Amino acid sequence: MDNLGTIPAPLPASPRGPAFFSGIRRQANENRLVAVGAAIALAIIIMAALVPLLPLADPLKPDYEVGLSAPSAAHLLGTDLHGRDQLSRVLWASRTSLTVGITASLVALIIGLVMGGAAGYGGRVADAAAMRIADAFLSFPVILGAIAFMAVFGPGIRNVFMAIAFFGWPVFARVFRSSVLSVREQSYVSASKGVGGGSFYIFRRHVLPNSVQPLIAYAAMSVAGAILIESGLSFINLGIQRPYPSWGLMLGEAMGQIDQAPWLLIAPGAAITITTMAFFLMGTGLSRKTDPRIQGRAHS
Amino acid sequence: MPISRFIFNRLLQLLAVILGTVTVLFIVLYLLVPGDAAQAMLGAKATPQALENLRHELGLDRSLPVQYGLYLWRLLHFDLGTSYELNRSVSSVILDYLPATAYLAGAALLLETLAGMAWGFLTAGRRSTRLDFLTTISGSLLLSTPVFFLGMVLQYIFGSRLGILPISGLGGYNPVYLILPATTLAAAQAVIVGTMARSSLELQMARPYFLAARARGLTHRQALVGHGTRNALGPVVTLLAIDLGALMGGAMITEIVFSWPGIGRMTYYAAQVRDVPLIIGSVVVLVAIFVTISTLVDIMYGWLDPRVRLGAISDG
Repeated sequence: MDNLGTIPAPLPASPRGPAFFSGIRRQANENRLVAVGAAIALAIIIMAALVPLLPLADPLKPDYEVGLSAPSAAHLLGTDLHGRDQLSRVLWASRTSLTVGITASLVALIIGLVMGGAAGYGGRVADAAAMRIADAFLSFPVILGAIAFMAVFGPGIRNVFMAIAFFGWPVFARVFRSSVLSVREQSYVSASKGVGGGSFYIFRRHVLPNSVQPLIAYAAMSVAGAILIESGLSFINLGIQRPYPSWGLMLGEAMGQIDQAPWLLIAPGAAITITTMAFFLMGTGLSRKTDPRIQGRAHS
Repeated sequence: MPISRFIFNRLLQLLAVILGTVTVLFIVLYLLVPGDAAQAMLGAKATPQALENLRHELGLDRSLPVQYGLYLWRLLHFDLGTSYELNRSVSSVILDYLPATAYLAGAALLLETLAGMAWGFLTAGRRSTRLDFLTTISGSLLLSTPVFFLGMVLQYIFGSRLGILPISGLGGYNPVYLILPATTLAAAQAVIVGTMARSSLELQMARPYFLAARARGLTHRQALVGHGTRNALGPVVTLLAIDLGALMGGAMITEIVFSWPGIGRMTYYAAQVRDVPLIIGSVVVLVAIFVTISTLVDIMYGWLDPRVRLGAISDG
């Protein structure tokens, strides 16, 4: 079979050739991914915000009369071992996961901005110091660091934030640094320097606004990664503590009851997967980078 | 840069990372955790005299730099301390559990290599097609599925429902017991390997030598298999090597779901009872394995491809 048509066109594309159209098609595909991801994420965020207003059963109140009952009209997604309504727990847990995912990523982003900015703009010594620290953090899997952190400092939502931000910032720092390095060579930066702009002024006015864009894709990926790590930690009892609902915790509690109550798996499992995927699609669409160190981060 | 200098630099980096990890752990262990090791080992009912004796024995009554020195000295002799709970040396406990984890991680690595390469060959050069959209979506779905959810769903389908595969334990190293846990562990990573293999293959397809091979009359597939693949393998192998380390650590949750008697599940139990020396010991060992593997691969890669050690290719 002749596959000649599948050879990617060499760059740069001529503005009217077939490469031009495939470029548009590719853009459209990636925009579609971003749009789908953003729409789902937005829907989940709105739903999480509205949860307190919905007519739901108390997610914390046990009712042993109806323990482990299958989905029915009274309990649309069934009940767990303690007779708590699954639907209510899954919906309430979305607030936990989103709060942890977004806040921890924001903190990681801010640390990354400071460290990456210092590395890219602060001279050679600052660069070497910041990047060696980042390399040390990047040299082992996030989940391992997070587990050790939680094991030593004890479980709880505050420590989950800290563990994720503590091990999540180096990716942002690396991306921001390389972005700053390329922006500071631009002619508008030299121009600003030429008319007497101070170093901090130039950073704030020119370098920062032009370098943050690549970070947006990683921020979306980071939310996805943070939600996975939070649910993983909660699954092994090192994250969110009982009786507060968290998707990972709910799956952990369901572990012993797969045979009698398989419905306990579906809702929290699907919730984690869909939420993670929404942020992940946004991130992938926004940046199709293939740096193995960074790509693997969301997961390892 | 001559190869010897390159190797020396990488080994120095390896030492720095291990020393850094160990130092951070020392600070955490000795300064931030409430109560000292002697208190934790003897429990709340220990007499002041016994506490004093043990503190002296462990060197806890010395100054901080001396304690740090002692700690490094012990690590150098693979003395990772004594587990509070098991009352055994941490290194012997770790050695007991390491083989099962290595077995699982090895199997998962093999699986993700095969699946990832197949994925790469299938999708390379097919950007913006329907297949591209489908594989992107299903790949994202697999990447977004937490291992414990995937594991439990597989357990339910193949164990509880169909009853054709064992769902827990090592089964005396019977490979049948490996199928579900290894699949669970490899699934998400296979996507990452596949994506990497794909873009690496595409990079080669755009090179002049590839076009030249086509011009000599090779079909696209022949050129890809005969010429493109070998050149595309470098980054994939690097990724796999980094991943082997990640698998050693990331196997924890899979091991818990499948009651796999490995180092991850052992660390989980240590964390439940806050057996700090055992937790720290496992983390040190896992980090050491991880950075050693990635350093070895870097060195090997630098040996094979001089452009890497010249810094012409960053990160590979």
